[in-house]
Amino acid sequence: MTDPSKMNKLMLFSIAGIVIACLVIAEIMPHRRTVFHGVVLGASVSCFNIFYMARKIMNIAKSASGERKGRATLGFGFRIATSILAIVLAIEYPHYFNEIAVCASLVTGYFILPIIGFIMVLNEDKHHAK
Amino acid sequence: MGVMAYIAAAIAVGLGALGAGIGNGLIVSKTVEGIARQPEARATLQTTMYIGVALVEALPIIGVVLAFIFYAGAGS
Repeated sequence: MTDPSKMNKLMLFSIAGIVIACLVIAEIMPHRRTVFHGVVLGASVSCFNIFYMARKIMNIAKSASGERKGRATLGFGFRIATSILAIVLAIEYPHYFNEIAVCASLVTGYFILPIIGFIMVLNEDKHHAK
Repeated sequence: MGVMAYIAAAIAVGLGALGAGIGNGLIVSKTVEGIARQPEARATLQTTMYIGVALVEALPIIGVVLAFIFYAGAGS
C-alpha cells in the first residue's frame, strides 16, 4: 500500500500545477482575472487542509498503535475555519477573488487525493502481478 | 428571502455535519479497531483511512461554505 507522504507529495505537485496554470491564464485573460485568482486561493487553502488532515490521521494511527500518548483528534473544526476564512476573504475583496470560484475550488484537494490514491494502488497491483 | 436563506443555511450545515460525523466516526472507529488488532497493518489502514476521510469531508466543507454564503446574502 502507498504511504500518505508519497500521496501528499503528488497532490502538492498537482495543485502547484493547477495554481501555475491559473496564474498564467489570469495574465492571458485579464477580464476573468478574479475567477482564476479565486481558484488559486481556494486550491491553496485546500492543499493546506489536506496536509493538516494527513498530520492528524498519522497522529491517530500512532495513538492507536500505542506509539504516542495523549488525545488525538481529526481537527475538522480547524479545516472548516480555514475554509470559512477563504470565503470571507472572497466576500470582503470581490475585486480580487470571485466568490463562486473560491467556493468551488475549496474541494480541489479532496477530489484529487482519492484519484491519486486509486492510481497508486492500481500501479502497485500491476507491479505485484508482474 | 431573508428567512428562507437562514433556513437554507441551517439545513446545509446541519445535514452536512450529521453525515460527516457519522461517516468519520465509522471510518476512524474501524481503523482504530483494525490497528489495535494488527499493529503491523498500520501503514495500509492509515492510507485507507486517509482516502476515506478525504472522500467524506468534501461534502460538509461545501455545505458550510454554501451556508456561509447564504448567511452573508441574507444579512445584506
